[in-house]
Amino acid sequence: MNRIAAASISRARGPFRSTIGRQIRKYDDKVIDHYENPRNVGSLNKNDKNVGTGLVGAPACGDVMKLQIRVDENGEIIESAFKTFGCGSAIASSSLATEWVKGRNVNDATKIKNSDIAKELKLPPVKLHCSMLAEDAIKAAVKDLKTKQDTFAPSS
Amino acid sequence: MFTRALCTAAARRATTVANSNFYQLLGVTENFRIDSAQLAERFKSLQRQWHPDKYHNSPPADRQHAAHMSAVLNEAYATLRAPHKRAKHLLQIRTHEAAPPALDDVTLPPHFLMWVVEFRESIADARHDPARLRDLRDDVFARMKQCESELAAAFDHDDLGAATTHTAKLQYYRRMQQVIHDFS
Repeated sequence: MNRIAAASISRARGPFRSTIGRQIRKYDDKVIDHYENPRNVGSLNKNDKNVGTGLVGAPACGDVMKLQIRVDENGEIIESAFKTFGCGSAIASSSLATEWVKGRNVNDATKIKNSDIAKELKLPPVKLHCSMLAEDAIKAAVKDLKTKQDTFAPSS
Repeated sequence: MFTRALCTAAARRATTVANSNFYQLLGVTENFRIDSAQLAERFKSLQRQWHPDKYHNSPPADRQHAAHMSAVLNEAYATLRAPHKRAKHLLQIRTHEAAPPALDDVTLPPHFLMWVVEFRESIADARHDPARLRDLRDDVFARMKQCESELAAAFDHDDLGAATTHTAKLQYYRRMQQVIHDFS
């Protein structure tokens, strides 16, 4: 599993690395950390009724992000996994998203905003769309889960 | 060689056109299906016409303009030659938008995106396997050609929704080609 993440990010490694150590540092340490040690890379069984799969793409660059969540009987997210084929910021954004959704109730997961992710990773303006992709992926995963089971709909 | 007046008038006309329509600039039929031989011929002949050497002894303004036209022609040719750029340019023309579509709002069906994820995974797995990479490259190429023919049909029927979807798909195929190329 990690091999795949490593392969998908190795492409960007050259130019990505070259920005580090220059006078103007483009990426924050947190991005580099998630990029070099992505958390929760892998896949959950998409046919499991407790698993929601979110698939989002960025047609402008042709990259894709898959984010999955697994919930327990109370609708709490107990596991999350991602596979992102894209730049360092997209990998870091989805890696962080999987960490943040874990332990949350499925209805709270969608409260994670791209601005929170961007702020945490100190993404430069040109990379904001990567955090938007991560937010969309969470929403898509939750939506997929809810189409499989309506048990976790908020009571109102 | 143009007289100065002629040259300036032609230049003005061409620039106005260049800002909006590369098909008109190069004088080829405004369609996704394109005659590449005719396109290359028109480009070369216009490029000769605006070649900076011809304006060597012209006033600075005309010289600058010739250089500008030469650059615009290069961009026009590069745009119309590449299917994905041509598709975006044609979408911009047909939708009367000021800029080519960003495509970021295009939502492709989940099964396509799932296929993209799986295919990107296969590429990553095959990165040390030249024979497998060649197979994957051929696979992407075939899908790309299929997509381009669907794109041509969509433009023929002026179905801009379908054309936008196929243009977005083309971007994913192109990205795969790039990744395979980088691993090869």
